[in-house]
Amino acid sequence: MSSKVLATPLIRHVTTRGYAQTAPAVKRDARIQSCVLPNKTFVAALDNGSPVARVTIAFKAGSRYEPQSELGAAHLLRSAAGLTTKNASAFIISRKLAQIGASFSASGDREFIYYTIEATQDHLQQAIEHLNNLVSNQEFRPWELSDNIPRLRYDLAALPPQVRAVDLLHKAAYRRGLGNSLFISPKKIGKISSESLQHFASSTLTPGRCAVTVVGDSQENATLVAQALQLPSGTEAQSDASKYYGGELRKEMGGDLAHVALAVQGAPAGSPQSLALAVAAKALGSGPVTKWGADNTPIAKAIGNIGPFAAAGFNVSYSDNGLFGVVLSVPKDEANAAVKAAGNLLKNANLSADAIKAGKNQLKLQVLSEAEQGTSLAESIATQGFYTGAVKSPSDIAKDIEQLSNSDISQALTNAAKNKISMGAAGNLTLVPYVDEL
Amino acid sequence: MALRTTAVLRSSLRKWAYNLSGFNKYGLHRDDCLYENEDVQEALRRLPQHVVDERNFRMIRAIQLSMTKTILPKEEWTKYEEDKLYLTPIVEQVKKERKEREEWEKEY
Repeated sequence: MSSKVLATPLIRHVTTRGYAQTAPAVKRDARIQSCVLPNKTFVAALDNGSPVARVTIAFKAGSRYEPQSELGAAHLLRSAAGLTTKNASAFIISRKLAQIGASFSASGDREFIYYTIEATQDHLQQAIEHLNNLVSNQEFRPWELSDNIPRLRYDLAALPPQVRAVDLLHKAAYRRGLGNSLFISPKKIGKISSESLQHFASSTLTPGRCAVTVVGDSQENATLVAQALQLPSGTEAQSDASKYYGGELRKEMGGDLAHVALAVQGAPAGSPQSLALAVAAKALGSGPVTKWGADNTPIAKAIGNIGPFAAAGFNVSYSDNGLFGVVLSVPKDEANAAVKAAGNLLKNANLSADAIKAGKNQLKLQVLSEAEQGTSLAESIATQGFYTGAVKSPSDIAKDIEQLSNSDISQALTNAAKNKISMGAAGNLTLVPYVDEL
Repeated sequence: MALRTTAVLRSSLRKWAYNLSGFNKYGLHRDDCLYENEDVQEALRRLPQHVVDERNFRMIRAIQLSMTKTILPKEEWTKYEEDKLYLTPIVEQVKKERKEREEWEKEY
């Protein structure tokens, strides 16, 4: 009997119509659109049709803008994200975000702070509203800040020693500005008052220092997000141009390992040299490519067979300066030989064509795979907007990497190697040489 | 005119009632006499330390006076005009936050 039902003309009609209506698959051309609003807020959007949308509101409010008397304010600011603002209480913010299944994060680096929200497309409007409530009109109530102190202590306790070494390296290399630590010093916890944090926020969270990026929604909506923000417009925090001094800082922490970061002056973000150095950093090596496999990278070969160790090249670029170098973790007894070998490699870097080719491919993979993760894409679009005022798509960056010639890379490397070496070291430093002994 | 008279009358009535209640003779303020329930305890946590210290001093002084069955000399009594509500606005805020929390718990 049931088969007869399907035979009725009406149903047949509906089914055939239904199949006929299936839309042909259209290849969407997702392009990053960007513009600058009249209030100087940078807005960019990538409408890639993703079911999850990410919205990032970024500010030039990183640790380099901290006044020298209030070091750690940037850490406090990013830790205070989600506390009560004039628009909404901390309780309501967290519950409402949980109710729509959105996830919020605040992260920061030396130059910027990123407030990012992830939400499904059907709850995007609500999520944007909550993000606006979170970022606008922050209040920093003193009792909420003091309730937040355990979180700061946890942040510090959870810091890996490698991160400390890189942090010390920045301090040694730049002293002030970019040298300011990303993290509050334990002695400053609880000492930065609500008023001084408020002052830091009102001088950094301004429309002229803001970038709004949206991944998964249109440019118009991104503009609306930017326009809805209620931000103070006052005197802005200034940071002196960062000068590379070079030096060394060591933090004896005991343990079995020595963690050492060595670097020379690199190139500012957006310059072709910075891309060349990024390739060179990858070419130097970043550990074995297979788990437990042999490490055949130039840096590993330079250090030689000293037992288990980890070493990787790294390159960071900021708006007016950069660092290029290596990070290594070695057992304390082998530290002397390993650090000297790494220092030598950095001074007389000479990369083979094969190594450069591998470096290019690895960097391309990294750029493109990071672009697959929406949150990091949204944040990196904001960063690019701040650095260059324009946005390149990840595939364009990959093309740029491909077009670098071997001589560009060796040239950038020799230029960088002319500078004084800086060193940051943490862990057991018994046998770690000083920087002038390299 | 009538309105003004009423206002004056009301404020003098308030003052009379304030002096009648008697805690000012111990040098206390109105907010020192709040019953310390959870809301008030939370509000006290939010006060700046020096305000809490002043409050504690007034309370200890009042206990001491009460034990010795004396009151302060008249010129040291708290005056109605000088009695600022330093805690009530914060208690109101705490209550509002608690209401918001309870409202949410009821709905979800």
